[in-house]
Amino acid sequence: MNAGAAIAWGLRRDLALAMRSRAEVAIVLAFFLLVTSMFPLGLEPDPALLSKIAPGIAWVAALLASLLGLPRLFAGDHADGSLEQLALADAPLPALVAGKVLAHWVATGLPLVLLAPLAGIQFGLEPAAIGILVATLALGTPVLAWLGAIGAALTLGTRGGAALLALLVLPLAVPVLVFGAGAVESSRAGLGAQAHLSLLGAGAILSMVFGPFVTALAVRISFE
Amino acid sequence: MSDADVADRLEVEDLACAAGIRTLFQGIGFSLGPGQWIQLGGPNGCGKSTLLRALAGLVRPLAGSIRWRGEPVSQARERWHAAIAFQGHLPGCKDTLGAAENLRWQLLLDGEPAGPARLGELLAQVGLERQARLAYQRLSAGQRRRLGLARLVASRRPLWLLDEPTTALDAAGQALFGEILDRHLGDGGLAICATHLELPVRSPAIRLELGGRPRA
Repeated sequence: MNAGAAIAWGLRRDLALAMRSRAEVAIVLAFFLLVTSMFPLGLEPDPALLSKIAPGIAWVAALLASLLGLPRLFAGDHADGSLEQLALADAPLPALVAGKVLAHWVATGLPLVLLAPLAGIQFGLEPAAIGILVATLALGTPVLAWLGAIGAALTLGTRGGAALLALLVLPLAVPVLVFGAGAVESSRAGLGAQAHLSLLGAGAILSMVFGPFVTALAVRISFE
Repeated sequence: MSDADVADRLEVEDLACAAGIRTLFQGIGFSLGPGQWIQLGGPNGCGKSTLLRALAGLVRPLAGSIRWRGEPVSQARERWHAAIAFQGHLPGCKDTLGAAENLRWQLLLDGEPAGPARLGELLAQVGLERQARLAYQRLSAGQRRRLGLARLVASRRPLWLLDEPTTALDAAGQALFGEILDRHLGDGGLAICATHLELPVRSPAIRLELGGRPRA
């Protein structure tokens, strides 16, 4: 099987699996909406304050929500032996892994991007800022998916894997958070968001180029 | 040199594997040619599964060489993976998918045709035609094994590495496994089966017993 067919196999199989466990996917989205709705309730309902902190909150909520779905990326396949079959397949493992991560992003990352305007409206963000927020999430969630995939593969077979995964991935996600939330801030300050978006885009490209190989390596290590 | 000039042959020399800091076995060596199969025996914990996993390339052996068609497998991983069908003690099936669907994804991964007619034919051969749409988690242990057999029936890989292939199978299921393995060997295939049970296979087996106590 060539790389393209392998990516398609991973993508279609994992999307088929996600369709069977829609509840797990829905939990991620419900979590995102719940967390973003908690802040206006907990803080004073001052529109100026809320719209100022909105990008940061939306980004932290997206980060935590994407963390929530990560353990199911490889752990299930590891437990039932599918991951062995992937590693022994007559196909490049990085490509199979890329298909799986792509499916994971389509199932949990893309809906976050689409839900972000809803969160923005709750906080009274102006339409232009909502546009920037959506753009940063669209560029940033693939980076989060790849960082998470590497962490998920590295923590396979360890006890307390989910907690360890959070400790491993959250510090690495700091730059994504800074540039993601910073883009909205700087565009509202009149500085333009281009620099932040470029950096996020560079991060997305880097993670897509190196992520598959690093993740595949981590998967192979998990069998030892 | 074309593919047809080189015979399918597995040569293992002086293989040693460890579990943690203990050496499970060492000095394992054999040569396996077309139509031959190895019945791998030994007490629990002697390293049968580890040997299969090391051969497949999931576990790195401590020492020794594994050659397929004269070529070290670690240097030609893709060609090696295209030559083996590995079935460990984990089924590699998803609980939420149906029997036919599980088989379909596995066959697509193996690069075998997996149209609805072919799937139905394969399931009928292993006696699962009525369970095609049943979720994997609702199949009995023996039916799960039979689904694994369906993959082998479809497989055109020359070397099968099987870990306890007949556990949980009823008498008819074990006989079915014997037929499938005999057909594979008759076609010039090779196989290594780790098992505690007597397998109803007509082709004579090369017996390989792994040592009892693990040595330090």
